[in-house]
Order: sequence, then structure tokens, then C-alpha cells
Amino acid sequence: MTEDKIKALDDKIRQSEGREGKYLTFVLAGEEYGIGILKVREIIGMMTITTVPQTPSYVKGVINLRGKVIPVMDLRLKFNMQAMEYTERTCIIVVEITGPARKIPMGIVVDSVSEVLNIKSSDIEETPNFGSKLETDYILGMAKTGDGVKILLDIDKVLNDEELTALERSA
Amino acid sequence: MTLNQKLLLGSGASASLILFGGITGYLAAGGYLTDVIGKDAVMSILVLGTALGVALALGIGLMVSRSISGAIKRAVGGLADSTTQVSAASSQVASASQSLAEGASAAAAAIEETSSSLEEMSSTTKKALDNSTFMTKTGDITFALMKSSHRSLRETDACMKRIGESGAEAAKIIKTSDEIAFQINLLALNAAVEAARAGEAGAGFAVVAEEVRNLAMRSAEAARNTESIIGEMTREIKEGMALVAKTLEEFYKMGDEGKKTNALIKEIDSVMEQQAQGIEQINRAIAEIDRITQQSAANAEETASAAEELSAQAAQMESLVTGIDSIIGGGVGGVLTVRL
Repeated sequence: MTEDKIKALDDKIRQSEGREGKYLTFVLAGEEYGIGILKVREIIGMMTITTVPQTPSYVKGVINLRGKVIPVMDLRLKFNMQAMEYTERTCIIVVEITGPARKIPMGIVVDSVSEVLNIKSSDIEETPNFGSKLETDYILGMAKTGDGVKILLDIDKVLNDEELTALERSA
Repeated sequence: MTLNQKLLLGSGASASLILFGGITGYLAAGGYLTDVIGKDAVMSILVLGTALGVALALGIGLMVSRSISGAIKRAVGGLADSTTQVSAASSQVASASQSLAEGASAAAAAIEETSSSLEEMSSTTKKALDNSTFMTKTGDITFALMKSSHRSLRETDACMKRIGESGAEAAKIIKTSDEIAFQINLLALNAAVEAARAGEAGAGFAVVAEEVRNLAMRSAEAARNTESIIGEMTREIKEGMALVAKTLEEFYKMGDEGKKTNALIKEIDSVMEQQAQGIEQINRAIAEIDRITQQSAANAEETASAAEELSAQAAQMESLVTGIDSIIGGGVGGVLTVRL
């Protein structure tokens, strides 16, 4: 029992230590989110998206990024938020999602990109339990900055395995 | 001694002379008779004859005097009547011409007053005419000034439009610089991502990226401030243009009213001129009336004095008639019962 507890605590510490580091923060519907910077390949302004038929609504289509075709999804739509007209502040963050088979480059559309923040593990808190049925796997934790809270996303888990497999196939 | 008495005396005397002649003759005859019939009888016949002669003489004298004085008395009576009438008429004429003279002089005084009132009116009209002429000139000047300020207003409008265009141009430039700042920000973030990937080696690069990003942010901030200032400026220019447009509109209205006023002033001016001319004419007419009135006053004065003269003549004539009357005798004095 004691060993278990120690192990759990150890895990937690290791986990939180793993979460410490630089995050790229962005805004979505007025809220600040963060993605681990090592997941980010690059940040680009909005560009022409070619829509692909028979894809889920949150998949906006594909872009041609310097000769590479990359799928793009709208994070607002993925998070069941109200869609918004793209402005000159709208950005595409190209991330690398670790799929079941390989790393998939993927663009995610956000309202605007803010900054690169160094977040200490002491500023990161566990995701509160909103209820057993609510999946909060895709949230790494809550980062306290100033008097606000930034939601740190585990971008690998934003899409579930099925979706990832589908993406892998299409990419 | 009245004429009657004189006549009586004359006829008596002539009768006595005749009688005396008779008596003388008679006496001569008597001398012859005495010889015939006696002295006493002759004496009595003589006395009786004398008495008879005297009575006859007296009777004839009375008759003669009566017939002459009656005719004269009638003539004098008619003369007295005429004199009375002339006297009455002349006094009427005198009083009438007197009142005519008085009326004429009163009219002359009234005309004098009218004339002076007219003089005053004439000078007032002249002043008003001067004023209206001046007003016409002022109206013309005002109109010219309005035209020139209208031109200035239009220029102001065009100038505001140009400023507005410049503002829009500046806003475009600011937008471009804001876009550039955004791109630099993205680049800095990408650099930060690259630096993070480089791990320890990228630490220095990360600092540079952060600095570049700060600069981009400041540039964006400056662009935003400038944009808001330009926006305010644009809004104010729009307000100014609206004001100018409103002023122009009011100006057009004012111009219309001014034209009307000018036309009215010119009309008043011409009316005033006509009035002045009319008053001048009235003045001349009044002067003519004045002259005529004074002449008729003088004429009335002359008539009055002539009537006076006539009256005096009538009085003299009356006294002459009285004299004749008294010569004829008091018996006929009744003809001058009306004394003038």
C-alpha cells in the first residue's frame, strides 16, 4: 500500500516534471491554450485551404506547405465551439501528431497565436475532475499565469485513435 | 329861411309889385273916379282892392311854391333812397371783401404751414432716399462678400475632401505596417520554435527571437495607436464635411433670401425716388397756390378799400341830400328817416 502510494506520487512528480517547459500559447474563443513547443513544427498565417470531400466537418481540408500536403482541422469545430470567420489574425499551427504508426504533420486553425511561454512545473495543476464521464485526456493540465489559467493541450490525444488512423490513411 | 318860405316871399313880393302897379294905376284911375263918385267911396274901393290883391298874390305865391317844392321833394326823396341803398350795398361789399381778405390771409397762413410741413417731409424723404440708396450699395457689397465666402466654403470643402483622402491613404500604409508587424511576430515565434528544437544550443537564439518579437509587438502597438488617431481624424473630417455641406446648403438659402432682399431694396429705392419727385411737384403746386392766395388776399384788400371809399362817398351824398332837404323845408325832412 505504501509502496503503491510512493509510486503514484513518483509518477505524478515525473509527469509534472515532464510537463515543465516551453509552450506555444494561442487564443481560441477568448481562452488561452498552450501546446508543447516541441510538438510545433511551425506557425503560418492563414492560407488557401483546399476542401476535401467526405471528411468530418472539423477537417477544413489540406494546404500545400512548401510542397507538402498537410491536413488542416479547425480546433473551434473540433471542440464544438461556434465557427468564426477567419481574420488576418487567424493562424495555422503546424504540429506533429504521434499517430499509431508514424508522426503525422497536421495544421490546426486557431483564432490567433500569442507567444512562447516557459511554464514551470509548480505552475501546472492537474485537470480538475468535471465528472467521470467527461473525457479530459487531451488536457495535460492547467497552467497558472498571472491571474489567468491556460489550458495545456496534449495534441496527440485531441484526435482519438480512429481519427488518427483515418488521417494516416489520407495523408 | 326854407325854400318854401323864400318861394312864398318871392311870389308875395311879385304879387305886391303887381299889386303896387295895379294900385298906382288904380290910384290914377281913382283920381279920376274921385271926381266922379266921391272920395270915401274911392277910399273903400281902394282898401278892398288892396286887400283882394294881397290875398290873390299870397294865393298865387303859395301855389307856385307848392308846385316847385313838391317836384324837388320827390327827386330828393328818390335820391335819398338810392343813397341809402348804395350806402348799404357798399357796406355789404366792404364787409364781404373784408371777410374775403381775412379768409385769404388765413388760407395763406395754412398754406405757409402746409408748405413748411412739406419742406420737412421733403427733407425726410430725401434722407430716406439717401438711406435706401446707401442700403442698395450695402446690399450689393454684402452680395459680393457672400459670393466670395461661398467660394471659400467650396474650397474648404475640397480641402477637407483631400485631407480625408490623405487620411485614408495613411490608414492603408498603417495597415501595411501592422501586417508587417504581424508577419515579424510569426517569424519570431517560428524562430522561438526552432530555438526550442535546438535545445541548449538554441537558448541564445531564443532570446534574440524574443527580442524580435517584442519589437514586432511594439511596432504593432504603434500601428494600432496611429490607426486609432487616423480613425478619429477621419471621423472628424467627416463631421467637418457634413458641417460644411450644411453650411453650404444654408448659404444657398441665404443667397436666395439676399437676392430677394436686394430686389426689394432696389424697388424701395425707386419708389422713394418717385415719392421724392412727387413731393417736389406738390411743393411747386403749393407755391403756386400760395402765390394765387396772396394775390387774392391783396385783391380783397383793394376791394375792401374801394368799398370803404364808396361808403364814404355815399355818406357825403347823404349829407348833400340832407342839405337839399333842409333847403326845401322841414316838411319834407321825413325822406331821410334812414340815417347811415
